[in-house]
Amino acid sequence: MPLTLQQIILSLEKYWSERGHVLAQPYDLEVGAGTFHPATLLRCLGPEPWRTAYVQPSRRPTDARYGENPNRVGKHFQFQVISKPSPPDIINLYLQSLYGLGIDPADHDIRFVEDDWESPTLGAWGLGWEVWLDGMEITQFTYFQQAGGFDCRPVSAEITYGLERISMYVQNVDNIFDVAWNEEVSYGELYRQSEVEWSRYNFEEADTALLYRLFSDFEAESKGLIAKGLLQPAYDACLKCSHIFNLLDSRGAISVTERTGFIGRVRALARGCAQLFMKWREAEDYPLLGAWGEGARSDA
Amino acid sequence: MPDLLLEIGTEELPSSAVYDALAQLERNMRDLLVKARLSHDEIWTLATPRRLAVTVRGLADRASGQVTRKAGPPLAAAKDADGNWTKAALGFARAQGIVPDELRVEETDKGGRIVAVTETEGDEVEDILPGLFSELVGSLRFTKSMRWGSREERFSRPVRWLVALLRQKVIAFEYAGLKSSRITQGHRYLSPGALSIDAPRSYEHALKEAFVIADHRTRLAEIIRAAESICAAVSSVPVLDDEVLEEVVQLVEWPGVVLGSFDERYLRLPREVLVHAMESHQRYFPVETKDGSLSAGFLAVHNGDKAKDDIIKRGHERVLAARLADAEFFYDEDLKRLLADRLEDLEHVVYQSELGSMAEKSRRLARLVEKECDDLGADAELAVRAGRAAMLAKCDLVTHMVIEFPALQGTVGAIYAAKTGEDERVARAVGEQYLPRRIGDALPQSTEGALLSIAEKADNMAASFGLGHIPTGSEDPYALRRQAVGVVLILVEHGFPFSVSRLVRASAAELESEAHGFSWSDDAEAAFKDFFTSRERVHFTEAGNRYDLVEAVLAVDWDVPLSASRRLAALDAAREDGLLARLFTAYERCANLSRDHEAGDISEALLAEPVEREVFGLMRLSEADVTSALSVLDFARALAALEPLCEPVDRLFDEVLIMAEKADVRDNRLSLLGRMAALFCAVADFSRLTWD
Repeated sequence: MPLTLQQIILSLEKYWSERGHVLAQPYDLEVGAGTFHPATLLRCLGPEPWRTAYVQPSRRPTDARYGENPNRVGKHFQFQVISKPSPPDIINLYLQSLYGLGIDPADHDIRFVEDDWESPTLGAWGLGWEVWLDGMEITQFTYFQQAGGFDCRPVSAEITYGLERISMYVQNVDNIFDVAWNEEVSYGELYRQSEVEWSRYNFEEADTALLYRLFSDFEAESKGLIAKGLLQPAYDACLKCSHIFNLLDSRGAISVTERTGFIGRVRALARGCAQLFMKWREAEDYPLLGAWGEGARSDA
Repeated sequence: MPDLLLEIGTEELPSSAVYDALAQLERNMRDLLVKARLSHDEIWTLATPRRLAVTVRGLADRASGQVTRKAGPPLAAAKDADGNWTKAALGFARAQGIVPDELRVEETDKGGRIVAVTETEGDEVEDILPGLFSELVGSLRFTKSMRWGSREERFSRPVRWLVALLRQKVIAFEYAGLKSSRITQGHRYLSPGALSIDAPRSYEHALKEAFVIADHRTRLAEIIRAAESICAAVSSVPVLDDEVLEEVVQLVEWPGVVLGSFDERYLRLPREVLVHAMESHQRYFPVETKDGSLSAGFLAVHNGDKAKDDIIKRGHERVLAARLADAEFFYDEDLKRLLADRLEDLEHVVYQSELGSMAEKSRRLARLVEKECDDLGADAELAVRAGRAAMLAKCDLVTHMVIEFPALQGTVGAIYAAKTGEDERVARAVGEQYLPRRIGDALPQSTEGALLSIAEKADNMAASFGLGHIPTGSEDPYALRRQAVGVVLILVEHGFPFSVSRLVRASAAELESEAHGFSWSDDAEAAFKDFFTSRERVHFTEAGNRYDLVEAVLAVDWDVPLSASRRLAALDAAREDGLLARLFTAYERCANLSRDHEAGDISEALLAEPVEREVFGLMRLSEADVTSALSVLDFARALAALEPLCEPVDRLFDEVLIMAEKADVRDNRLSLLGRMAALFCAVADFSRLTWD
């Protein structure tokens, strides 16, 4: 029996947890990707080692397709892994994790295809690959070079498994809504209606005047909180701005030139939060230095 | 057999980085060997996604020796009266590390001098190589580079191992915390684990045993061979795009080729769409039947076990099927409406806030095309078709197909225009609007397409320069440089004598009148002139023209590329047959003296000498000839019209003292020279010409 989507999650959680990764929980705000989770974006800054793994529901309003497209949805689930500093055998670790999903790399065509990643809103970028399994992209793999506009030293490796894609492959189904979430319930049962409703909202109903107002309000809130040194609330407000920007974008309410301005405003908030995080860790005297033993300190 | 091997083991490198790094490896290895005075034969580079390697044949065992000569004291001070070495000479010999009897005496123009000639032996190759390898690995540069782990080194992707062998021996050096050894890695999945290399000569063989073909040339040949033979077996032919080939070679270490198929019903989709869906993202090769039409198959190059071809093929088929199902859905949805009906949708598509909507852009293009047709005196039907193509040009931007496959803009517009009842020539022009898309790409062939393509580019340039988005250094987000060269190429190819600045100003005026806050300024105009001239300079010099001729032309004629190009050809021909050199001599004599003189009117009464009057008369004839030749862009005739001045100008300088004592006579003569220099410069800026 091929694995259900939830068994895939369990397998990955077990695999990475056995290798010392903190099983973080999904962040409870709307985000576009697992990268936005503070356990990634903030923790990849500064000198301390860090290892984490978690599922992150990710919303991309412009990808919504009214539940009609067999491959694309406005909300999907990423399985995110961060290893900092990036271990020398990280690719092998990744490949071994596939065995637990019923994929033996020796039976397939697995390729690492150049894919440079950038998130202008987060002031973050890195180099890496899309991982192809017999031509299908199942994972994104990135070495973070900058986050919040600051250099990442040491560098983190980020692995993002596309849970739906992997499930479709191992279950041999061609429609995302046919994926077995568990033995009884399909992905479509759980999320198709939500896709239909959110598509209408994203493309037709979202009140752009309200969104514009919310963006400005949360931006002011985030700035004020940064000034007061309240990192976590400031970061949440920054994430809200980012998501509201995405909604405005999917409503087609933002022109090309305005885009740059909006992106710059979110990036300024992300930068402020990144700075607060680094100050906080320094003030704490970097308590995680030395965690995960020699392996995490190696010069690899 | 190679003596030396260096392999840099990496995580999977992007293909573009591999080719670039190999060129550097070869060049830098050669330079470093020369610097180290190590003689050698062939340097050979090879690569897979996970390794960059370089081998050297015929490497010397030690560096060539170095002979140094050092002059010592004069002979007089080196030997005493008895002919014995003095203290000075003995000290000099000791300092040079030789015994006094090895000192030589040489005669110089200041008398005898003692000289120490020493020959140092070159270092052994084994002592040189560790430093050389460190320098070599550290010398590689990448367009995009990264750090990894806790290291500060930058490379295209992380470096994970180093193999360095001189014959059987490991050359020990370090880079990025890694120590060199003889241990490499085979294929990631088919032969995991360490692999030991005995010597450089067994490198390729050992890797082959571990499912890695190390030489990319061999993999390329293997992929082509396999593709052709697989297709031949089913009486078809692979469509092997060079760019796709170059890339897939560097995506695999052990190339397998599988022939997959897709549902035949997709063959009703336009060929361009099918090919794009296969090539662009998936890097598959389309397959044709013998008569050149697409068949329902594709080739995927894979990196897996050939015994698993079936599993791999099924996977790739599923991926392509999903993409084609998307494409089919888009195609059918899109064709439910006339392309022209989408014009109204464009009203709601913001181009940029200061530039209005895409519908406004379409109308601007139509008016610009109309203006071009007026300038050309084009016939009315052609003008109607070109204008229609301009109005339809942007309609495909709101189709599902182009939203999904942006690279197909224009192409899809042409297909949909033809499918929804537009004139074939209108459809073709829509398809040609973005040409040339890259260096060396085809140009629009139809007049309608050429006019639309120029208008589209002029509008983009006006918009960008008006908004201050000027390309700098590596920043050219709207590819304006390519578009500028495209304009030059099309104008020359089609023989349109358009002024580029006039087109851009017309576009800017349209943008201003739409009142979205766009404004055109003298600064924008000046920046545009600088930009466009520099593109012409690059274009004409890269086309093989002499730099000085290009400068001489652009100084007088940057604005009308057609005439600039013809002027350049005339100058080049005149330079070949010697006319230009003769003209230059005459020009230079005139220009040198008159340079600082403010030319006034020439008084015939003050032209006292016969030769002065002769020159003046000839100059007036030449002026008339040059003006008439320039008006019909006949630059060869314009240059020829200057020639009658050469010999009389020589006589003028021989027979007449230009700098006469009487001020009015002198000024009159200088004015004559000044006017002649100006006449030469109306054809080309002769002051830019250089002679070797």
